[in-house]
Amino acid sequence: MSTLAAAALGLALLGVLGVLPVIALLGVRWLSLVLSPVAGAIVTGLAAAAALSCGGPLLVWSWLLAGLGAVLTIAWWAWRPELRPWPRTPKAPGDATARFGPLVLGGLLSIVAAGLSLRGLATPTVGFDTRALWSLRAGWMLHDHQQMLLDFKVPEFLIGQSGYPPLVSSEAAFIWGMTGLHTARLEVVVVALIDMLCLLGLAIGILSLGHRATALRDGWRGLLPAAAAAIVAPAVVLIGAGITEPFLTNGYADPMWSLSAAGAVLFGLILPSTRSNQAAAVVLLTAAGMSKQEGMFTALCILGLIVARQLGRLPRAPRRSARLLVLLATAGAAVGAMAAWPTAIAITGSRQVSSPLSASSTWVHRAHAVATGFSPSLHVLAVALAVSIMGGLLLRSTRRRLELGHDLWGWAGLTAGLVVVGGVLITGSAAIGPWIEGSVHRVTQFPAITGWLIVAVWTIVGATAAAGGTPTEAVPGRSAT
Amino acid sequence: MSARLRSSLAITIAGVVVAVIGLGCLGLQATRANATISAQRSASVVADARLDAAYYSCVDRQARSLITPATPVAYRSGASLGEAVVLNKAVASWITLSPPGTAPDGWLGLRHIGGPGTCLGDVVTLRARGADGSWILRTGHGASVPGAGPPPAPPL
Repeated sequence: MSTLAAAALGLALLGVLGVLPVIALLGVRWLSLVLSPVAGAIVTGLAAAAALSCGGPLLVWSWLLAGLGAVLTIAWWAWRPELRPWPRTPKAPGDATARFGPLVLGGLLSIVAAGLSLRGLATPTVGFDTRALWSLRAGWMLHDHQQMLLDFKVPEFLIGQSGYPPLVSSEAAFIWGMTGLHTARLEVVVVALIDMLCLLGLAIGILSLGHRATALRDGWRGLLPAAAAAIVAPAVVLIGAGITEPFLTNGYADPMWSLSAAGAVLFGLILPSTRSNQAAAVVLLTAAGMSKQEGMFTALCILGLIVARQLGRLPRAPRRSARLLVLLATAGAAVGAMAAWPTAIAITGSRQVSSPLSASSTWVHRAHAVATGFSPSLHVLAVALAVSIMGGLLLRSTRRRLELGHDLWGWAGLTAGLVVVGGVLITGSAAIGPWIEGSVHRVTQFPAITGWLIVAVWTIVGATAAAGGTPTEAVPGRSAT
Repeated sequence: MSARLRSSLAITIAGVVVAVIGLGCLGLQATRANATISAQRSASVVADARLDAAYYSCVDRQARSLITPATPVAYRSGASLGEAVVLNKAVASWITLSPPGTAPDGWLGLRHIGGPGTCLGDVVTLRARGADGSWILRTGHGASVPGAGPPPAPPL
């Protein structure tokens, strides 16, 4: 089987693993299609944790967990028929063809942008860490339990990083096992495709905002925000790919956590607070948290922010307690999924990275080095800040009409990611200069992408305001928080 | 002009300004991003990637000429960090490690000897007992990459 065929088959199988829970959580929408393989990858990460701690093949655990998810989903729909996705599909008001035209165009352009962004895959690059860690562990995850424990425990492999979160390795292991093709190159292609699905998720979020804005005004001017979204969405895909290259197409985990976490900020903190958007945010932040250490800490911060945003939107009694319970249970499930692998590593006594702290007297110097080292990669923050201030001063009412979250939520998510990676670099003990030089391009991916998302969202808000006039139709729902 | 109309006009103009600035910045950055993506197809990047792939494929095939995935092995004692890293990258995903406290069937290593029949000068070695029970050092075969190592360093 060729690498491309195996990757396509593997992606479809990952989609099968995750599709039912994703539809149950998000409903029937395009976003569910691109997030199903991401959810499938989460399932394989949980399966890897189960295989390491309890024994049993990863493939069996993957299908068992997916089956359990499917049974729970079907039982949920049987118990609460009103929550089945098919009767809840919203109808677009007005002339559907005219309103969807720019969005269909934007979707097609985004797919073209995704194809262009993946042309780096034609170069057979396999990154250093891909061979030394991510695809290495994929092989270990397919060994029998005794050998798998040895692989993760014995000191002679000299890599504490093998305790890093599992997702990139586990999805590769699953696809290796299902297709019989065990190559680092297959891991590279699959990871790049899943990264691209996350990028397409961002594009769908932008397009959905454009579509929402069309409801604010009739006539051709009402199509202006959708037309803007049709340009912005493919631009976001290209920008995200440009920021994450060459790591997008060399099998690294950094684009995975950065793009997922940026998606969690978009859907959980910026876009309207619908059940579907919140569920998408939880899926994405769980993927981020299961991809890399810094992704996990950033995801926990974003989860805290999402919970805080939702706490401000709880209904009055008697529904308040039930909503609070759902909110906390969802947050607990996400934290549980992220904690599964570290727990398995701890209880099996597997190797872990030891991270001694640097002397606190050096932190000012290290902070200065971090700020200096990061700044060339984060010019976008100046643009985003300028646009945010201008928009916040002049377009606040339009943003509120679109029911977007307050701009500070997005900035809080971005800042959380910066604080996490900056904090690790400042308090870590490795020589700061080489450390920044070797990692700055990777650890700034999340704030850079999120900065561009903030610009993208204000661009749609600006286009909505430019369409002008008094709204002819109010978007149903509540005001922004 | 009423205050309400003035306010509405101001919002419309501000919207146009923000949308134009946003679209301009996004368009400019998308163009730069496209150039970054194109750079992954440059001749030097492609050549480095091919050499890197050829080197690790070579080490992998030499190791497979010495052991099977079921052979219990260990890394040779005294292996350097660089040696262990190359072996990790090339073969550690499929070899069977000998459990601690048990004798492996062989000790896997990597030597830099240069010349033909090597992977950029490196050759995989296995120290194992021969038919007469004595220790012998065998070298891997079946693949080679001409030149002198190490392979070009990929971006970290």
